[in-house]
Amino acid sequence: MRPLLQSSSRFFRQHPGQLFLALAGMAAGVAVMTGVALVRDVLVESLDGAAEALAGGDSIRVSAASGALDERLYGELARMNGAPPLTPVLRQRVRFEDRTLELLGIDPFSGGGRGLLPPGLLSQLLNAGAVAATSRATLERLGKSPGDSLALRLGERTLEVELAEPLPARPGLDDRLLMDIAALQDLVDRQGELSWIDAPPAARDWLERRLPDSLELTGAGERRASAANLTRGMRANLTAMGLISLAVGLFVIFSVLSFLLVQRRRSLAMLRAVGVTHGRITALLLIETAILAGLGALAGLALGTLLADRLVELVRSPAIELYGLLAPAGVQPTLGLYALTWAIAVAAALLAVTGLLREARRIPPGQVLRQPPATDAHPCAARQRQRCCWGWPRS
Amino acid sequence: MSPDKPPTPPALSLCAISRRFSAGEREVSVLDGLDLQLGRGERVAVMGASGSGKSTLLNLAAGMDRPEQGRVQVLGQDLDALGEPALTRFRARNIGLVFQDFNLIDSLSVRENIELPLWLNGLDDEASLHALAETLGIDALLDRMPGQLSGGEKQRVAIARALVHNPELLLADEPTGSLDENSAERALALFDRITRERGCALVLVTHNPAAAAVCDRQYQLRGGRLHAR
Repeated sequence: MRPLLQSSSRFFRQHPGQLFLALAGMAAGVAVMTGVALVRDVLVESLDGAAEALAGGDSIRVSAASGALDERLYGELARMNGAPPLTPVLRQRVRFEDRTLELLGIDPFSGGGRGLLPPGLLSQLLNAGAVAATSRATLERLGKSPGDSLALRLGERTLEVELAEPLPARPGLDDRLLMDIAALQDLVDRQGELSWIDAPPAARDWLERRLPDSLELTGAGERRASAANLTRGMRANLTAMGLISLAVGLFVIFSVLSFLLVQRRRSLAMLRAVGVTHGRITALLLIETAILAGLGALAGLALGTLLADRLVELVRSPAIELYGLLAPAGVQPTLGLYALTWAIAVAAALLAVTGLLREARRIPPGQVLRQPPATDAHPCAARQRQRCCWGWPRS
Repeated sequence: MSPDKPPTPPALSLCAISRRFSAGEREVSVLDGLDLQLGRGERVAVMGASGSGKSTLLNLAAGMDRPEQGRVQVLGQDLDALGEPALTRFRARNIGLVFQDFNLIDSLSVRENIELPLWLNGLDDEASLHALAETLGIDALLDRMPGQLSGGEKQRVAIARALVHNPELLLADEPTGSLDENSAERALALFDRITRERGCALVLVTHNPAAAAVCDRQYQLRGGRLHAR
């Protein structure tokens, strides 16, 4: 195949505009598809962001079907024999300028709170009243430094908190500020209340035997399913957008390849005349398509990741307003998602050009006899000639 | 007593060939019971008016088209008995084609264009390529692209490509049609010499009596049949 591939690669170098168009079409389709897939993941994962930061991605949660938990429940459970490590959490949404933030009150000495905070930060949170710690990325987004004061809005009230040293980097802490739970209860006037209690997954049986019927026990999978359920409409719209973009990308690559096929009718007929088989021509066109689609899709993955970073900003507000989900500020792409998207895009491109392959197989080798090459570059002229040649031979 | 050697099949045998094409609602018969026998190393010229069926004749001889009636045999092989891709491989191995408009692949260099039949036949005969290029006076052009060549140079490259794999049958369609008078004369002399030296059979389709003169026999294609001149 080397001479044929060499011929093909030179042809594309001689026609950089068409090469660019094919790559750009594919890249655009894959970019939107990747961006949307990443944003969909963000939406589903966002419900669990706090639990992941505090108790790990697979924690189970005790919560009340409606409203808050009574703080005394945590005390009773924690004092029982064989009690698992439990993490009491109070959550309060607040606003800073046009941004929604989440204040998370934890007990730094219990369950998942233990070990989360470095010793210096721990004493700062415990001893200095309304002090909150967050990630360096969130501090940067807020335009604040450690020691600065942050004026937060809760309804009509303004809450002042002091920012502590940044927390070690950890997923799920975007736009979340950790505080000592007692300090937060005082700050927001929710003394005696908890939002939920986190526990390790192994504690499920122990908790089920001791919890009153009025409380719910949910695992990480159920919480994710709940988030998926809540955001189904939005995700369906995003998915449709991704698929439409891919279809447009495939249409562009199909159009470019079909234009190229018309342009290269003469070359392909010539190759057939000197003895290149249908099979080799088909293999050549498939390899070309796979390379174009593969390269375009790689560019699309990179563009899609950038696009997702912007899209997350756009969907954060509706996610909070409509579903109460605090989406992370950044996306978390995985190799699996990239590989799957790339494979789907290349397979779809190959599928899209099957019609062209059939057409390429029908190019008669005798078409090249007595045809002026100058007109070959123009596809309309080539089509015209094709009709002429198939209907009535020149002699 | 030595056993009788089987007779060598002719390079090309066209028997009672008919080929029709549709022109609108009309069926037009282009070749009508055409016969042609061409021995090994023999050279024939086919002349005729435009539209008389000369290119159709070459297409059929090369297996690039199939007749409605009649039989085409090349080197004793009935082309109708071969399917794709066997027919394509047979053509690549045994037939050389030279076209009026050269039909070089623009995206391959001169060397790669000439190497194409070698590659298709799994041959690696660099020495033969260089010897042929030297004979044709194109050895200095091997690394150029077709777009950088004159018409005469292109035709010599096309001849080299048609001959590099030593085909038994050479089919040439107006090989001097796109050349000026001097280039055409040189190309014809070259054709004459090369086909004699290599002993390959030649079917030369031409309008040009001077070109036809290099052949052993000359025919006029008229009314769908060949008439000796």
